[in-house]
Amino acid sequence: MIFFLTYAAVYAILAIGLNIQWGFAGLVNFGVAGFFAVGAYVSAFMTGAPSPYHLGGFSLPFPLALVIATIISGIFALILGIPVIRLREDYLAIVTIGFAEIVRLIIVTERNITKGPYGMGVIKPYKDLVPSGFYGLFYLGISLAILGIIYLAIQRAVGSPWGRVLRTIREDERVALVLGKNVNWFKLQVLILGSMIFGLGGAVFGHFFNFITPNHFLPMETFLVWVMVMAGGSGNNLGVVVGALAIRGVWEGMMFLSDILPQGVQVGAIRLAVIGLLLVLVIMLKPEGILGEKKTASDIL
Amino acid sequence: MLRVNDLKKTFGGIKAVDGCNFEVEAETVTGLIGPNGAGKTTVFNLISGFYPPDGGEIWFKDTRIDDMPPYRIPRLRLARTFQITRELRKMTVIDNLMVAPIDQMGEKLWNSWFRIPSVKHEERKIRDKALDVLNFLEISDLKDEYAGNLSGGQKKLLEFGRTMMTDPELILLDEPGAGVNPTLMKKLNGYIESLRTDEGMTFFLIEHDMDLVMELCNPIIVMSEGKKLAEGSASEIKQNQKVLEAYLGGGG
Repeated sequence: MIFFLTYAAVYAILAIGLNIQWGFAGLVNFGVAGFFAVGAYVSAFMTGAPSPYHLGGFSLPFPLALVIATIISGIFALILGIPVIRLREDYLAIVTIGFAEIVRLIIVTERNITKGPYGMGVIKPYKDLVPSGFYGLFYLGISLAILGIIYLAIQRAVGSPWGRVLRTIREDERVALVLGKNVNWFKLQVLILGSMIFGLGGAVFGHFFNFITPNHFLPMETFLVWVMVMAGGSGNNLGVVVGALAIRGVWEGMMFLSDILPQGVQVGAIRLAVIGLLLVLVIMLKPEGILGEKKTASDIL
Repeated sequence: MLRVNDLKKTFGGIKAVDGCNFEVEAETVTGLIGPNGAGKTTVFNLISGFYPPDGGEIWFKDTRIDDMPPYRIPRLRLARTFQITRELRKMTVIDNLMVAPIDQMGEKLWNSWFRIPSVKHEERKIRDKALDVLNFLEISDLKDEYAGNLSGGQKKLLEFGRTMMTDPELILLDEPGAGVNPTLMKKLNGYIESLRTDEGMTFFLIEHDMDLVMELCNPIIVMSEGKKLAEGSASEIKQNQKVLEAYLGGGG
């Protein structure tokens, strides 16, 4: 249960990051897994002990590593964003999924840096301070605290005139332009901010799993986050957290099916189908998601 | 106030605007008419900077604007509406207005987290102004409704209100009368006239409803095949042989 909740918290962080991009600003980012990977690997390099087999370890303290992982993800988003932010949404989708795959393939091939497909161990932060039986709970607490901070920060941002501009861009870019909003600049901010959150989520994930391989960052992860946002209710931060919990729950719950199903049936394939079916059902029955977007009014008054 | 010199724009093989020249004088309601495909909306889109012209210049208040990014142009206090209303559907009516003022302090991400008093103060002023505009347009009771739920005429009013939120000196109106019932149109006319005389605003509008144009606009510019065909007061335009030919395909 603790394992599941921590996992769900990681995905809730990712879902909030995607919600600010897609739910509020209408930016199509299919490269979530790429930034997720960047954050996970950077934090692993920063906190690990020095090793001849991969980059670093710099043995930095955990909070500092989180900050660095977040910032580096942001820098990746900046470098990616400057040339592509002006693209229309379908092209942006193609470019971002390409970016994520490039990141993953670099991790696979650059073995001197990342140990490639063998994967890297990631430290358990503050392991010595916490009795081992309570470590899972302790780390769940850390994950939830980070989720809480992200949630409050984003919630505050979207309730402001800044968030109002994002919704305007989502609804109609031309209107935003004739109202003097520098649309590309706002989109770039959102791409960077959301991707920093993905990077942070990646770092939290790495220290939770304690072992990362390129296979943790397949395009599938991106689409799982998309399903969470769409099912939970894009444009509603609480909704996407609920979505993360629900979809992660279904995903993990399906593992128990392997006991019931006949030999040879692949649970992995079935759970993809079930998630797909769930998404179709939600879109048919409640197109706005479990918790749809609420009417907002400026909360700054 | 607005000057267009030898403006050109081609789409594929079509010369949408082909060497167009005209000027809009301050504190007038200038009409832009012409048959379908004359290039009127293209001229508006060129003025808004949605695409770069293939030739020619556009000047607004001594600033050349044809090479400016589109978001800069409204900062010179030039606003516009669209032929087909573009309301922000999943935002409330009041949010549709409150987003309009240009360069709000609260639009900085930093200020959304650290809300210093001046940000709050500005936000209150914007809210009060939005309420004033809603009152002026007599749609206050709709303020918390999603803009997507409004009727066609109400959307027209809302879009008109949105331009007023930006304190414009020149407003481009693309067919303000299309799909608006006569009573509402009379109201809209009244707003335009009172904003012109009381606030010194200038209007430049495309319209197909000739009665409306004749009543409201002076002067009127007639476009045909991407060029200015004629310009003058309503009575002059009515008697212009070239205009009659363009509209009625010869004879008249």
